[in-house]
Formats: sequence, C-alpha cells, structure tokens
Amino acid sequence: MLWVIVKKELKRVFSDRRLVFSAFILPAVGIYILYSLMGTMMGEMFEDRDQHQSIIHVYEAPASFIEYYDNHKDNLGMKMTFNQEDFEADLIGVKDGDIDLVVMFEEGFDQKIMDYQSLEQVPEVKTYYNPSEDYSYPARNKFVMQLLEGYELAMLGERFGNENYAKAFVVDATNDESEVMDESKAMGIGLSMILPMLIAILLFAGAMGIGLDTIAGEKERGTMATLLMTPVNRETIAMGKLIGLAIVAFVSAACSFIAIMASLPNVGGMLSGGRDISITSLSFTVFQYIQLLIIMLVLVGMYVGLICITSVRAKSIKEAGTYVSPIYMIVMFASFSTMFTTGEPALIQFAIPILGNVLAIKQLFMFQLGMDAFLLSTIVSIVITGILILMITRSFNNEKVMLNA
Amino acid sequence: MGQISVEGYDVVKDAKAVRSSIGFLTNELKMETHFTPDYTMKFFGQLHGLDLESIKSRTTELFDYFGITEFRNKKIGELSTGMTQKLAIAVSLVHNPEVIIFDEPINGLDIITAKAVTEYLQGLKEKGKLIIISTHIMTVAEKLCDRVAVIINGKKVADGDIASITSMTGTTNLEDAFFALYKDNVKEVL
Repeated sequence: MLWVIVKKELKRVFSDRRLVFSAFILPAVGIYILYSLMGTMMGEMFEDRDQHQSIIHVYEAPASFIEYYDNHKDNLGMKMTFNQEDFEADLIGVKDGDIDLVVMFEEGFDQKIMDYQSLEQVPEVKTYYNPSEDYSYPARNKFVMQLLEGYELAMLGERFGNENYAKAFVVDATNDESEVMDESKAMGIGLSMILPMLIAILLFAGAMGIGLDTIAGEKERGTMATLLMTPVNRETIAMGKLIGLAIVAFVSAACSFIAIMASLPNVGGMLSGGRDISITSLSFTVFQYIQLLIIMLVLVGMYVGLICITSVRAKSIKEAGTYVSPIYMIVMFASFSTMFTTGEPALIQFAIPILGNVLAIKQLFMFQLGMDAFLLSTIVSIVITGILILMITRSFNNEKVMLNA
Repeated sequence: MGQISVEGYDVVKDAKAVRSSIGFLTNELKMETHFTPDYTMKFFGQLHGLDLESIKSRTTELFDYFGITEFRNKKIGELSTGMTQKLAIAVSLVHNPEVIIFDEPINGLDIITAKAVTEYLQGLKEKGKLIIISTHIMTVAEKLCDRVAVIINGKKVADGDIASITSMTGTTNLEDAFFALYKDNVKEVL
C-alpha cells in the first residue's frame, strides 16, 4: 500500500510536463548557463586585466628609473608618461578611471638613494590609485611588485657598487616543486568552498518546490479528504508522501548537481583557486561516494520532514509558504556559513542539524571527514527526521488538522 | 457515551474496516486533475485493497454505465463538471461498498446525467445496499428513499417513511411537507 502512495506521488510529479520542466529541467539548465557564464565572464575579466595596458603618469621620475623602465618596458604592459605638469588634474583622472595610477618620486631621488644614512632618510615613492576601478589596483600591484622591486634591487646595487650585494638570499629560485600538494585535495578544497552550500540549498529548493503542494496543496484542493476516506492507515499515507517527496527532491538535486558538474570545465580555475588543475584530478574513493550519498539522503530526509510538517499544519500552499520561509532562511544561513569557516570544525558542530551535514560534505570534499563526525551528523539527522515523521503521522491522525476544520 | 457501528464494525475501534465498507461522496470530493479516470480508479481501487483484475472489471462496469469509457484516458482537468461528478461517484463505488453515503449526488449535473445517477442508486438499493443521501431535491428523496429525516437549521424535525411525514404535516408530497415543517420551525422567516 505504501508503494501505491509513493507511485502516485511520483506520477503526480513526473506526469506533469510543466512540473518536470520547472522542478528539474529549468533549475539544471539555469545552473549550467549561470555557472558557465560566470566562469566565462570571470575568465574574460582576468584576461582583460592581463591584457590591459596600464596608464601611469609619473612625476619627478629620476633618470635611473626612466632608464630602468626603458630597458624593461616590453613585458610590463604599461604605458608610462613622464614629466606631467598638472598633478591635481591627474588625481581627478584616477578618480574618473581615465588614468590607472599616478606615481610621485621624491625630488632628488637618485642622490638621496646614494646619500641616505638612516631609514628616515630613505627616499619615498608615492602612488595614487583608485581601488574602485577595475584596472587601477592591478596597475599599482604590477608597478610595485614587478617594476619597483627590480628597480629597488638595481638601485641597491648602485649604492653598494655591486647588484649582487643587494641580495642576502633568494627564495625558490631553483625549486620548481615549491607547491607540495595533492592535486585531488587541492581541487577538493576549491570544490568545498561552494559545492556543499549549493548541494544543501538545491536539495531544500528541490523539496520545497513540490513539497508544499504534496500535502498543503492536496488539502487546499480537497483531494486529501478523498485520500483519507480510503481504508489505508494514515501513517502509510504520510510515509508514502514523505518517501515520494524525498525521491523527487533527490532527483531534483541530482539534476542540479549534474548541471554543476557539467559546468565545472567552463568555470575553470575559479574552483581550483586559480591553479592549473583539472577537475579530472579529483578522485574520491567508493567509500567517500557512499558517505556523500548517505549525507545527502539524511539531509533530504530532514528537509522533507521539515517541509511536510509545515505543509501538514498549513491550510493552503500560501500559508505553508509562509511557514517554510524561516526554515529556508536557516538552511541558507547554515549553508553559507560553511563557506567562511577555516580549520577543522569542532566535533560538536557536526551535531547541529543542517550545519553539521553541510560541514560533513565540506570536510568530505577536503578529504578530512572523520568517521566520528560523519556518524554524529548522520545519527543526529536520522533522529530528527524520526521525530518529524512522528509529528507528521500524528498530524495525519488529527481530523481537524487534515480536513482544515 | 454512545457507540456507532457500521456493518458490525465500531467506527472508533475498527475505523479501517468501516472505511472499507463505506462509499462516500461529498461535494468536497476532488480528484487530481492531471490524472486520467483510468488511473484514478486504479489508484483508489488499490487503496481499497482490490487486485488489478477486479479493479479492471469494476472500472469497465462503472465507466460503461456512466458513459465515462470514451474519456477514460483523458486528464480529469479536461472533463466537464458532469463527467467529473460521475467519475467521483464511480471512484467512491470502486470497492463495491455495502454502505453508500452521498452528499448531494446529483448537484450540478445535467438532467440526463442526474437521471442516470438516480437510477444507478435505485439499482443499488434494489440490490440491498444501504444508501444514505442528503439532498435539497425532494423529488429525488421521494424516488429513492424508504426513510427520510428532515433537518432544518441543523435540527432533525421529522423522521420516518414518506407517507408518515406527509400524513403528519397534512400534505400530499415531500416538498409541501418540508415547507410545512419549515413554517412550523422557522416562523419568523416565512
């Protein structure tokens, strides 16, 4: 009898083309397009920044700097203008985004380098940039890190009489293997930033879209009363609806998940933290896949329970929507909060419903999920789902609640 | 505290058995609009514990009688009000219940469909089924009922066979009897 109810719930969803489109296809296509677009646009943004020729106006440029610049300008991507006259006008240009950077050398720069005896006497280079403009901060970064660093070394060489004296040590000059990392883990860390949050939210959104209609909708349309008139146990009806909804929510989340995975190649380095690592380097063991499946299943169970209990207590879909909104906010908060956590979470955090599950997914992607944390989050979710099911089945036995009396 | 039993089953202790014995139809009886009549019959038949073969033959019998066969694979949302009402009746009778409780069974039906439903209920009555209907159409009550209870403002004001009620009110038909009873009980209105 349970399976008859489950099949009916699934048929109700999967035989409705509009529902299939809005619950499964549209979110998946939307996610794919959104992420692909996001990745492509970010890629183009980085490329545009890289290719942009920084416009830099330099005041009081010493001869040594102009010479150094002339020798190195080919690979810098900078268009530098010296001997400007209107400093105030250039600052307005920086504010307006017409100029990326204004640089002011101290007067008598070369001589001061040669003459200084204490740090207070070291000549200063002042930079003026606009962090709210796309090209200004990268221009300053490039100017300081690439140009001034080398120029400083050259000037120290001048001062010491030998450029080699200006260096006490070098860092990783011959070490090509500075980055000691497991590529799979590195990719996992990238994924763990965004995927646990997405999985948690998508699972809830998938269940919510259809879950409110499953009970509150049936009550509102009067079809619930028809169902309750049959000799089937109320518990069986409740469980049938819960299982049906859980399957639908899982399929909906799976569609969205596939869309995310399909869009990953387009997202490029965004998830790998800018490193040149392929998504194919990510290799989970069978056991980890099973763990992920279990976490998702218990999370779906809890979500379905929460949605059904709000749905069963509401008289209409609209009312159920009002009840479920705060729960959605909690899910969003718990999901987003895991994006900004660092270090290994305390074991007790895994006992917090929803947050614990999302943390478990995050730790799993980072290959750091301990068995104790996995079991704790799973058991807590199962217990809460059990309590919710108990509450739902009791509500199903309450005529006043079920018949909107 | 009283006790209610249906077909020998206590309505509190054996609610499941009671629900199996009853075919219940109200104005509130609604069906999923994107399911077909065929699937709806199969679904409710299964919930009543019938095997697929029994459901099939019962569906054919009821659909043929009510003229639903032609529409059995259409979505319920696409059916007319009358056809939907006939389907609701068929659904409530899929398990061939011994007790039938119908609230306004011909409400909103065209005259031909109303006649078909009334005749079907007449046939069930002749087969020995217990039928309880509530109706505002006195001719239907006269045609179908052996026993009539008149309820005015939620209070039962008369209960008996039609002859005794008409005799009690000094009228010749149930409609006049109802108005006479109404006049006696709600004087300020009439």
